Amino acid sequence: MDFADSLASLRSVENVRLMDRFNNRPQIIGTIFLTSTHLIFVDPEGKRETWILHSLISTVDRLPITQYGSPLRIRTKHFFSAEFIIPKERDCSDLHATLSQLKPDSYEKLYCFLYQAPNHLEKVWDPFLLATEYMRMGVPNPEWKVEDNNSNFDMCDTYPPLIYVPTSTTKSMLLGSSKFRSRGRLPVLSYLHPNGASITRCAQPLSGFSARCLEDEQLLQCILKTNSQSNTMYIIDTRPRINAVANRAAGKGYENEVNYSNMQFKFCPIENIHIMRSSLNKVLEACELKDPSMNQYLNALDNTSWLQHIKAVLEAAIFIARAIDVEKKNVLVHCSDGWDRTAQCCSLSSLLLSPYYRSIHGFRMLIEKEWFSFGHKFSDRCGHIRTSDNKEQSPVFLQFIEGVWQLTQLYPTAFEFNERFLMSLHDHSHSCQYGNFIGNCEKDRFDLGVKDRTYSYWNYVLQNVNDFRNPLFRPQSSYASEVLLPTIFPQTLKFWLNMYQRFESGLLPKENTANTLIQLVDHTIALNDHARLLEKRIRELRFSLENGVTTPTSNEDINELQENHNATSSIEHDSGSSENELNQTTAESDPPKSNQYLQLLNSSDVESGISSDYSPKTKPFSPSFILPHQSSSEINDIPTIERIAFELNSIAVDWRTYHAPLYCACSSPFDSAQRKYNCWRCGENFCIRCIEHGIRLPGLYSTNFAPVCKTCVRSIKTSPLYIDISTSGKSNNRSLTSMDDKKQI
Amino acid sequence: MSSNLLEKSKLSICPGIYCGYQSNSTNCGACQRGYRVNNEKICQLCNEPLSLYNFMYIVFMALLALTFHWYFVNRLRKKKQREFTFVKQTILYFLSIFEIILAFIFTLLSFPPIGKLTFNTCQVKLFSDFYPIFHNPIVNYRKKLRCSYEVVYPLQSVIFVLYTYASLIMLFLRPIFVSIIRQKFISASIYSALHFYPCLLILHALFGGLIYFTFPILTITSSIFLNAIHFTLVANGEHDWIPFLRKLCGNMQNWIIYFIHVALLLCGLISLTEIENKYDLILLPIVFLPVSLKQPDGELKELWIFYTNMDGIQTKFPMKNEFRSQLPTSPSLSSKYTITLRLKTLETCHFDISVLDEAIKLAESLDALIAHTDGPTFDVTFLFPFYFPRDFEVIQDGWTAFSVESEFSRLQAISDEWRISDVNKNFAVCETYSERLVVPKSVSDDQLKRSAEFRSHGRFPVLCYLHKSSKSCIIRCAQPLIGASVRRCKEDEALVNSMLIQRHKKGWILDTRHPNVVKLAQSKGGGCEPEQHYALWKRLHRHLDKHTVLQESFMKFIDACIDQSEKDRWLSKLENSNWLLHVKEALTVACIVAQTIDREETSVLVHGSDGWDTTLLVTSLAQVLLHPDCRTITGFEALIEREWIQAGHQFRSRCARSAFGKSSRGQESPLFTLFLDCTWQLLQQFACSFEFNDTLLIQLFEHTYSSKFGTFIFNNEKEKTKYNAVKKTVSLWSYFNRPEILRTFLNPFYEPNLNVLWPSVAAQSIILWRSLYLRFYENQIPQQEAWDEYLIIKEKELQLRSYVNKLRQELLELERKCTEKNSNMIKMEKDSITTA
Repeated sequence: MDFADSLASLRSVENVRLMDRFNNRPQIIGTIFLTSTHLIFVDPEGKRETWILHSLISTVDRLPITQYGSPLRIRTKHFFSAEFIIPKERDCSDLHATLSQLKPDSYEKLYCFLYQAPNHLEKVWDPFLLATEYMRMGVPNPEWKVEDNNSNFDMCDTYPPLIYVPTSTTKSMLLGSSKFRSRGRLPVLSYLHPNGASITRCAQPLSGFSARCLEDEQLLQCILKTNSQSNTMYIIDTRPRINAVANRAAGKGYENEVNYSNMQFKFCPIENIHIMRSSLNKVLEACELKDPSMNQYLNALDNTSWLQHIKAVLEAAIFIARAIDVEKKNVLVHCSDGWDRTAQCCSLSSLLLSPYYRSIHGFRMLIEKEWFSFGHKFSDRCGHIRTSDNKEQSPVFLQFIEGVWQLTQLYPTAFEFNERFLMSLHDHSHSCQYGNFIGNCEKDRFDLGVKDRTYSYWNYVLQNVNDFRNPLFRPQSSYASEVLLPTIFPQTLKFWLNMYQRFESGLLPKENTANTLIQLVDHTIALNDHARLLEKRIRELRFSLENGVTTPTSNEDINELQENHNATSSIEHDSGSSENELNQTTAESDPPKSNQYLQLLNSSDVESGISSDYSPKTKPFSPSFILPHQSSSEINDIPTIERIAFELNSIAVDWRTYHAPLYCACSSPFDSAQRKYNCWRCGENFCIRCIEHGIRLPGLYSTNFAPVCKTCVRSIKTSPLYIDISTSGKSNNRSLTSMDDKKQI
Repeated sequence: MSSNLLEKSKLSICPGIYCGYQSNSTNCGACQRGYRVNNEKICQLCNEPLSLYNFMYIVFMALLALTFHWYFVNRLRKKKQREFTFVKQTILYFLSIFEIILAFIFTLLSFPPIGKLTFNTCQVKLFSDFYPIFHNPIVNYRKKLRCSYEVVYPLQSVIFVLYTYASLIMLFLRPIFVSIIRQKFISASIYSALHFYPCLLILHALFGGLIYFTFPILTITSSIFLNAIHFTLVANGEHDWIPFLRKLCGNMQNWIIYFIHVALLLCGLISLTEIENKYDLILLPIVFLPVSLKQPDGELKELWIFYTNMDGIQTKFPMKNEFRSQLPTSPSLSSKYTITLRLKTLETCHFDISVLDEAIKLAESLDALIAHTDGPTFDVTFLFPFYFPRDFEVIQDGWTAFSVESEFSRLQAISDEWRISDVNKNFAVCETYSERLVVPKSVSDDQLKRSAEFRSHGRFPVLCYLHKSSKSCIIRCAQPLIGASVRRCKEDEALVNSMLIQRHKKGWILDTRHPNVVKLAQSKGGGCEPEQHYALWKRLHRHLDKHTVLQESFMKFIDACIDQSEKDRWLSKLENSNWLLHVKEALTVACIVAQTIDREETSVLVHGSDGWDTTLLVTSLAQVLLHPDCRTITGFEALIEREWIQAGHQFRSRCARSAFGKSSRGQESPLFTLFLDCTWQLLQQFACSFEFNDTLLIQLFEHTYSSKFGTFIFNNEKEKTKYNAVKKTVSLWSYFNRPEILRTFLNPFYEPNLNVLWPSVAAQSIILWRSLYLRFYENQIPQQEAWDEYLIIKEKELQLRSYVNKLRQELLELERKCTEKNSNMIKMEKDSITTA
């Protein structure tokens, strides 16, 4: 069924009740709208809109009929769960049918191929070259080389075209080894530590009970010899021993210790994808418990074993990191196919080992390398496409993300990115909005041509990098710069409430320090910028006072003021007669005005009334700027009172921060997990939709676009002074500088 | 005669100390080797027999070489523990002795008289005898007379010869030894010797004289010091004689080292006194034993014990709570007996003791101590707070900081229907209340007394909180003694009713017991207000556990927290402990009270059975929710002082044990900890509404269990007065309220929040207070770093804000000036125009 068809039959359902899980708010009655991409629930007062992206919907269930109608429960992949009660049963079944038909049955129908991003997001992909990442690690070097055996994906279709192997290997060795390994995933370099020890990854060998492969054994010896510091290396099987043994019966299994000399074998018991999937389902059930008692809740959490699984993953990663850093031994990691648990362990241990990967950029590289390039099956694991069964779905990537989160909790200053970044990463792995997560391997993405047809997630990250930055990140701190080797106890791991319960704002802390911190940092940036402008203005005024003649200090401003001056003086010639009046007005108006500023300083700017009070009053005086004085042109060069007032007025010194109102000006409610934005002009809190980024505030020295609320944008834009600033011919310069500043940030 | 004269003239013209005439020459100059100039300036053959002192000097130099040998052998052993066995080491030791002795003999033999085990010497008279080169006289300021020769023949050269022999012999013997043993690394000892021998030679050449004159003293002092150091190392923190001696005597190496020291000392003494029969002086090193024993070592935990030992009241210090003597579980632990000391503050100390008897004795005595400190016979004045000297300047005395009057003055601003009553003067009516109480104006003291008789322990209803907006109040008391016959007391009813200011709404009586418990209490004479007699009130039962149930829950909980074994499922243990359940329940009840006060705008009367446990928990938590002042540091301190200490929470009984103690009297109960935990839950849900951070809460937790201060060591105000705590001890608040301490409690995010807090009490929102319960088991440094970063960010923002404000002011000032100037100029222009 096509979208158009399905939507033709049903576009909106009215009088729908949205059940609140905790019943502490009255039920909301509203309307469900279906668009081609979203399901939208709007309540009549327009206070609350719930947008659900179709590709995020995981299950749609019909529940037993209640007195109000038939309930429909929608669960999403980012842990939102809503229960709608639809009065007419026919509507309900229609909706159910439509929604359950929505999941695309082919790649071509995925959301990313429809998605049109806002203008400022570029469609050009920032190319990721595996080679540059390996170059950073110092590969190729005398020990390791690059091989292009796989350039047509013919040796292994889930590996990248270029693979990195020890220098001493031969092509036939690689070919032989790839035939011996499941899905041709032979051992290749994943991470090289500065001390020479390395992580290599592969899939399980097809050893069965007795099979062996000389090439594979040689390859492992070659890997062993790349590290001269140790004469043994680890082979880590990330499966429980029982699973590995069971695989032997299927002709797979693990390396026979007899055949591989100088190897130490170790099993790190991480359960398989099916156990993980059911564990996550139990977590969701635990989260959906209606007002559980403490013991019910803890019991439910305990039964999920979710934290134990996370702990197993982390422990495996820590073991690898310790082997690399402390024991200085090479490590070969594999699981069954080497794209789930192997990816988790390799990426987490790299994260522990290298501070580089703890930056936003480095983390991107890590994900590109370990997950995208080495073929984690995103489409299968996240269930992007409708299949007959969903046994391939599993929260493998989520577990990795949560592992990283647990580490960020242990070392709050060591990571450049924050919780929001991790959550966004997880959500977009499911949302299909960006092409990065589409398909099961590089080859799929190549075949689909995602780079030409979709947007890149990383562009989106770069665009919003300020939201994803950890304000506590201290690159020079001891924990940020060294290898992290935490000891994990069961007590160490926390339940990630902000992830799994993020839509239950009632359960989350009411005052979120993480958001407060971001606000503080933003405020610091704004004030810094403003202070620079104030310093400049003071310098100018001083100069004019001392010399009696005003020559602005910076070239930029000479141009600007010169232009103003020219423009104004030309007008002046026409209307020389108005001079007297003008002088009077300025003379009269100035003293009270400065008083007003003082008031403005004394009273807190938080009261948003000031800005609206003030803006109409500026208008009568504004002509005085345009109409200048005749002979005292020098004096005109200094920024006028109105100009300064306008500038001062455009920046709020005090921001409303902590005990923010519950509702935004647009009357949509804030919840504590949400990022609140402060308008740089009035200092009030706004939701993301009420903030505009496209304005340059006159009170800032730099010319970055500042976040300003819609009312303030209007009041600034209507001010004639603003037009003056924006039309002055230096916008080109400014945009350049703004680009630079952004890069710095 | 002439020859005499000649000789005399010769004498007179031979200058310098060491210049002389040789027998066959008439020139004044240096003597031959083996000769020394005498008083007559004639070179005389050195033929005095070797004196004991000189002999000892050579022995000393030989020993010096030997010491170096041994030192390097010892180092070698440390480096190669596995291959280099003790036997080989001993062989090497003896080999070096043998080499030196052989070299010594050779040296003796090779000096005249050759072939005999002695040699002739010249006397050493002066220090300068070793450095004749500095005493070459200059004749007539022109010619330098070179008179340098070996004056002290052969004491200077003999050492060179000795060392040369020694190294040669070594170079001959050691390779043989190495080849026999077949372990190449032993040759390292040869290389080291080849390094230190030249060094020794240079040392001797430069400082020979110094050494010659000082070596006995050097030997004696160094032997004594080295011995002391050696003993200290052996003692390794031991404070008792017997285990120390056992350690000392048990090891062969110790004996050898000891005898070497004795020998050294002997050498020094003999050479110094030149007597040979006072051997009793050997015992001298032993005198220094106590010195080595009393060396304090720098470890923090040992310092704890050391400190209390020094104080002499260590046995009463209420830190030791439970200990476990772990007998060696496996032979690999080899003679280490660990005593694990668990502290009430949840810290754990492990002590390794090598002697079983000692361990058992220590364990027994500690056990006895612990039993004693909270036994019924224990006198509270032996507690440390009574001995704690006030080592800081008290800015604000904590004992007087939170008086009833100051609280009352705040209250009067809201309502004038209350008064302070002195009915409890000298604790006549109620022992567990403070002397001054806030009661309604309309009730007389007599009525109060009647009411007190009707209430358990005389705890009649008193005001504890008055809400500003609704003027509704929280009242606490103990259960009424209605008994099975349902007695009533008119005065009590009047008192309770008079507290209900708004008559149009019914108040709530919140009983923190289950109805069944109430029934049980009723049969024992207690009970709850019957609704027919208290018609203006509605009753509500919300059960909160206390005493044994709570204590056991806490013990299980802490046990789960510190259990680091992998197998047990942590979450199910946490669930079994029920601690978080108690937190959730306490918060829920507090929310109910807050809701009644703020939303329903009616008063609440809270009581349990005695009104000093769960009642206080509920009333204090409700105040934190309702009243913004209680979320400031001083407000919180005032709350604790008012609601817990003055309200008679039995801190000494309740906090006699924390999580590890075997409960002895069933009085222990972590109610205050529960209150702190609940406050922390609020703090983490409303991170910006509290002026303090969790450091304050953790500090409070620690001080309730063990403190230098007198605040938490009494059961009630009466006890405090009885022991004169105000004079004799220091208040915790005096310590907390100093700026440098206060600074560590500040929450950088604090912004006063005047609203009532409505926390989430859902199970999902109640979380584990890691920074308290796991603070000794998790690495806290990263969290600390994060916290520092918070402070930096906040500080930066504040600075910038004030900077911007300053700049703005400055700008406006300038602007005003500009305007003035501007207008002046315009005026001038105008004038010029008009004149034109």
